Amino acid sequence: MENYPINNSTSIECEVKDCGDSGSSPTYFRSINPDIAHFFYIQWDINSTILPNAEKYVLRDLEKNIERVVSFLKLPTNWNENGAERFSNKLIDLTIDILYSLSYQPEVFPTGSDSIILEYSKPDGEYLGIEVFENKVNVFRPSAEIKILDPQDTHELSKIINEFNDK
Amino acid sequence: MISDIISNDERLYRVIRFLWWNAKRREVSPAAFIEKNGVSVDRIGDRTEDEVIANLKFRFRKKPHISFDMSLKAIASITAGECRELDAHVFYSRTKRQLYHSSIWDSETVKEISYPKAFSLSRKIHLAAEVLP
Repeated sequence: MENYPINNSTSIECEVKDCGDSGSSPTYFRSINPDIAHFFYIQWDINSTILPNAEKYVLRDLEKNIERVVSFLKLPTNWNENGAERFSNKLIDLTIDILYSLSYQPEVFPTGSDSIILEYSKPDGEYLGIEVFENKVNVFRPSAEIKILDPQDTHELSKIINEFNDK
Repeated sequence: MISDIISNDERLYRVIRFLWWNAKRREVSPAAFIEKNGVSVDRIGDRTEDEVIANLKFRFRKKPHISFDMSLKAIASITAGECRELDAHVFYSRTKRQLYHSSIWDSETVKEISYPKAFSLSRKIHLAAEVLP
């Protein structure tokens, strides 16, 4: 994954993805040129912005998770030796969009059923699982009904995840 | 001669790849049990556990064309009875090449295990063997 320093001569056509509160957190850019990379991010003015340690930690986890999700694109057909298809760009992009929107980063795992699971676990065994499909998101907690969300509704998803992690 | 029926106390063994392993919590993700064609396992049959583990380690040994993430991390085991207590459907489904191949489905008619059941399975399994990095 590339990390480009910004200076006056840097010119890369990108779409902007904000992370966290605008004005206080780095802004992430994603290249819309598929020849450059699937994506890269730029930490804007990181040296002159003092970030609390917690935010830096979240940024590193976000970077790690995005790399992991992108790596799922390399899984070939039948990667699980049980008929799994390759992961689509659409699902990968959707998952990355969701990861960008989160204050708490999950553990990320691929299934053999065209979905990606984002997990949160606590030492006492409490668990929250988010199963991301191309056209929906299933929210799972043990002893509760599965909640189905629109994958574009990152606000509702963030609310659920924040409530789980803030307790 | 192996019976066609898998009794409740018979152990089943599931290959756990690195990409399903939660290293932070030293747990298997429920993702390891969510597959559209049901979950493939090996029944112990007429073998010892050591024989099962040796066989799976050999079959799923690291090969040049297999990335780290897809290679074998652990071998998980669970009894057929424990699966049935979770309302999962367990049956013998030998293939030409795999005499001990068996399957876990969500039910008799639905192959893909639901997330709740996959979660319960992931918390019920015991690690019979682990491949250290």
